[in-house]
Amino acid sequence: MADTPDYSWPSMESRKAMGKSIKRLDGPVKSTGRAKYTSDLRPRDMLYAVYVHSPHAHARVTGVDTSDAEKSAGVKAVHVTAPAGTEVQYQGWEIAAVAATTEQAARVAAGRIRVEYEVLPHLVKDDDLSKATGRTKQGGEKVVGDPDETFKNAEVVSEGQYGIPIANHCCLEPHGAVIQWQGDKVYAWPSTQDVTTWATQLSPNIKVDATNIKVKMDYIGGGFGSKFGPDAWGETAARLSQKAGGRPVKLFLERDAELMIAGNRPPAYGKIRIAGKKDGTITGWQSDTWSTGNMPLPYIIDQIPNMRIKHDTVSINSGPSRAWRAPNNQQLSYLTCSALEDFAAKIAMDPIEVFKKAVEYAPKARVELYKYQLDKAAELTDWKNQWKPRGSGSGTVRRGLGLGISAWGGAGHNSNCRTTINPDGSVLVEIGTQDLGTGTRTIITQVAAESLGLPMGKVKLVIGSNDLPPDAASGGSSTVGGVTVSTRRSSVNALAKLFEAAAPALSAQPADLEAVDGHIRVKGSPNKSMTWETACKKIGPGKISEMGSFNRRQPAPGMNDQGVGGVQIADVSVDTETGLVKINHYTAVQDCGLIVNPRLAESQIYGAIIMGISTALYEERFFDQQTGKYLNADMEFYKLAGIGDIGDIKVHLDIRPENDKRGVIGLGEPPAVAICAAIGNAVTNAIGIRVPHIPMTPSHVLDALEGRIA
Amino acid sequence: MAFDFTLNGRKVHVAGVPPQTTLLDFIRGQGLTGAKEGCAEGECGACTVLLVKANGSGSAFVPVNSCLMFLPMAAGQEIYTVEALANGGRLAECQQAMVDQGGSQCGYCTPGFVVSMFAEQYRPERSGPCDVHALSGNLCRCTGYRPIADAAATLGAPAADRFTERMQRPAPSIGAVNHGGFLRPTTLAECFALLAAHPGARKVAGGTDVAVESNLRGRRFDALISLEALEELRVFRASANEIEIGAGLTLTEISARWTAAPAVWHEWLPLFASPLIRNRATLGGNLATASPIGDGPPLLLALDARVRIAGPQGERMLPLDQFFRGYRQTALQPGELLLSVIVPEPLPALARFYKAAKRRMDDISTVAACFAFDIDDRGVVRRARMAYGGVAAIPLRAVEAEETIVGARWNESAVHRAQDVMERTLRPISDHRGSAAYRLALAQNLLEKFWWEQQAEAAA
Repeated sequence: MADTPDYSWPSMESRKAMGKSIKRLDGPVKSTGRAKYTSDLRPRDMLYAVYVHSPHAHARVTGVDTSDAEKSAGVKAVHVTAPAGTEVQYQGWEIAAVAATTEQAARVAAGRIRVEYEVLPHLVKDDDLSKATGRTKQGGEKVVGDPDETFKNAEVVSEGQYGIPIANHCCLEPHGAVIQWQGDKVYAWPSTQDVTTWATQLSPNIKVDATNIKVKMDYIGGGFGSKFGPDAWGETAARLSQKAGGRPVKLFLERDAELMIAGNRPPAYGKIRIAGKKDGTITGWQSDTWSTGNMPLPYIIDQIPNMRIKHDTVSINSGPSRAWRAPNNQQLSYLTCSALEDFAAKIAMDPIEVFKKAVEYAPKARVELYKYQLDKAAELTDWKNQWKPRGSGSGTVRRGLGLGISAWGGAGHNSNCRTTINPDGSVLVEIGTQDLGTGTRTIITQVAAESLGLPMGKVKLVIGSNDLPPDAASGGSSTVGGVTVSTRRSSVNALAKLFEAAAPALSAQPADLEAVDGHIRVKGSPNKSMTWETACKKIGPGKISEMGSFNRRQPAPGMNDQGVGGVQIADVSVDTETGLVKINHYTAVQDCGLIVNPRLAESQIYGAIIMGISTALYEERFFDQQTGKYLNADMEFYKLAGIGDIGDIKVHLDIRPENDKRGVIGLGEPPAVAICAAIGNAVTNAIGIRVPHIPMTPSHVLDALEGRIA
Repeated sequence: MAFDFTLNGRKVHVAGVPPQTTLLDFIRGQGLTGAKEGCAEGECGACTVLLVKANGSGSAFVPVNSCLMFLPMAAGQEIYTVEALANGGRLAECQQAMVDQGGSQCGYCTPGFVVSMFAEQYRPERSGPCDVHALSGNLCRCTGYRPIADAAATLGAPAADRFTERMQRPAPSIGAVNHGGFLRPTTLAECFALLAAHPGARKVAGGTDVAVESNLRGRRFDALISLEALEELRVFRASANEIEIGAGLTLTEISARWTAAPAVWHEWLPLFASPLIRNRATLGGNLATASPIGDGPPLLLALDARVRIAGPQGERMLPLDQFFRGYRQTALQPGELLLSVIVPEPLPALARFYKAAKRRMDDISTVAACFAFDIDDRGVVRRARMAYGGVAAIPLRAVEAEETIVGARWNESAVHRAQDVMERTLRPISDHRGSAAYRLALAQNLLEKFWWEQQAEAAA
């Protein structure tokens, strides 16, 4: 066809499947336990693999003796991943792996591998730069305007120390894969956020053509940014399988290894000074921070006219950093919003007003949005009546309110979809994407059903394999923006073909047809209509199979977009005798574009908030500085929030026509950003002094209250 | 060397399986992969399954962590997994509620939540909506819990079905087991003989502690002697001057039997652990492991409890404060068993339990405290017990602090006197759960909290 079909979304009022709170399609298979996760798979003749990990934080491997392990009962393959000479950089570094007929046999054999180390000096403490001699890299200094003069002449200067530690992803299903390497073919069942390109990442490491690596995954037990590539264990499992004559090998990390090596959100520490006027205007910013990664401050309000920004990086002997649900944004939001709140307290101003002035320094396009959201959040929390100046509470249990702001992209990723319409009326939609639990299956089906004028149940969806039209990694909240557009386009394209087939029987032109409620009919003449099935019979031999795609380099205005903001407010009670923080209410105002499924969208926000509450109140790693060992690499002491910890969470999805017309924007990450900021500020507001370090545990709070902070 | 149990209504014969294999690993090996392993230590609840346990003349479905049960513990039991709950294509009501309310995201934890929710819906004494705290032993990393709590809230009484029908009939009784070093005697005499024959054996009751040692630290036991089938450890007797609680009763069972339990028990119970743990953990196990941060000791020390100990030579009685001898050491001699705990009546008029931990529920305490006082009409303290966990290598009473206030008026200055004594006498340790300074501050502040809460109650 010469003309480009009209792919634009149906108007808000006319949508039948989109915009509706459809229940997630995989609910029944998950609630009955029938959903098979990679870690549930047990193909015939499968071997169980177990790793030997380094117990040292920093050491050189001087010898690996696997001879006893090879003779151990049930062992089919042994593979050394860190031969003599390897310098291991963190506890948990993979040294060798054993594959055996049972998990127990593999464990016993792994225990028989003898590894010798030359132990080297380590650094596991990341919150004290003075202890990190030789481990830091100066990031240089960025100067904007004239910060020295600004601070010298400022009416007010506020200053604070803030820190947010490494957090672990702690996916309930650990990292791992089941892999079978038979001849020149590799069959892989990984637990991954990236079904499409997983094989291309493994391919060069094992020298097997990517076309010969088949990847399949139906369900994944959490990823949160930590499960993109094949990782070391993908390759190890493949090599064990090859050595074992092509038997499938299952290699999953134990919980302790999962926490040690499979997911670290980088920390951020430092000192921030703000110069300003008593009316709340900020005139200068000075930050001196460090992290294991880069931390571009200030967050959002980066147009402050006078700034001095210094950031160092420090390398420590701890598992590698991984993207953690909105990478770096929690840290940046925490540091920036804490400093803003301290500035507001210093000039005795309502922080809502100070934030509203501060967001004048946000990128132009978002300034009004933040102001609107700040007002909205204040309204929803009755801020005017509920907020009290810092430390003005009395009694042993004190209440406080605090706020945090966020920004995120959420642009769609490259995606390809195939929609097939068969002469019997059945419809197949195929995309090489994955559903992390965000509801991707449901959303794709909604878009296809909407586009084809069919009920949801008529659309069969297949995802989760690299045989399918390629999609991309589910990271950066990019999935929904990509798959909705590719699905829309392939479905509209397929429908156009169906219109061509059906038009003669309706004595109409294809362009005059529409698909509504399971019928193909002539626009404006509902009587000239035939059922979907009748229309499909006209397809004749063969079938309609059309592609649709979205490519980031060719924007699709109105279909998807990027760039969202959010404001969140925490309302907490702090027990000043025990230091225990309780969440009373938590309110999130989130800008969100076109919402395909409000229920799933809200669920993303609830989930992001509780994950954030968990990091704000509980999650922290403890290291023995002498031995460099991670002391609480287990779920008993690496504590996650439970059902009793959530308080009352209120979500305001900003569904308005002006947002809807922007198209679809990812939502998985943005609501996870501002929680540490909001809770940290609420605790400070309650007790009157800054608890500098996240998490706001009873001991951190009580230490601050009793003056035990160094 | 072999045994049977009933799994989803079908008899399973077990032979040649290593005794420390978990029930979870076994059922997953049978293809029933709805139950998952998330942590292998009873924290996440992804492995939850149902045990059929006696309830009066009928039965109840009791949710437990299958990762904390060694497979031989299942011998003779009747067990259901998530796969058994739906009837063909028809979902159980709690499963449908999870679907309707959007209770899954990644879904890995969902089967565990479903099983806990099912047990709560079918819990015999339940009235009103399902208690979300029944789900506190299940962790979710994705949903934010709200839709799960919403699902629980929709569930009323169960309709008559094959499960309610099953509840009318008695639960299986469990018998002797001898499976590759896992030994389950049914009489005290047999038990003493086994203890004598296997001096290195580890005693195990609910296994909520021992299984963690096995799963996470790879501990292999030469012999495990299970106390679960000993009726002598399952007494519950309330008389005018004391209450005797069998060491082998689970916390859930005690709660069901102790109908006149004081308020402090009900305050203590949910703080002890999640229902999944309470359904397996025994009071005797909590005392005998002698953890300095166990929750049982402070409560029972404050209530002046005694312990009944039995050995091949006979029985003896010991005040609980003489039972703890050192870090994880008790007065139990080799071959001896903790039979029961005796709490004297009358119970103190005023008793409160406090547990300071990072998370309010389902966490190990940093410091736990139980205060039990009798105060006369003139406001003079007649009896004071201040019992602590987490302030020393053993659970203990702050006796010197108690002495400073007995015979004196109970007022703010008494609180401060006791706090000063604690400053001198308590020597807590520093570890990753809390520094010594933080622990001492907690020990002192909790007493103050106790005082202030009484003032608030009196004012109200």
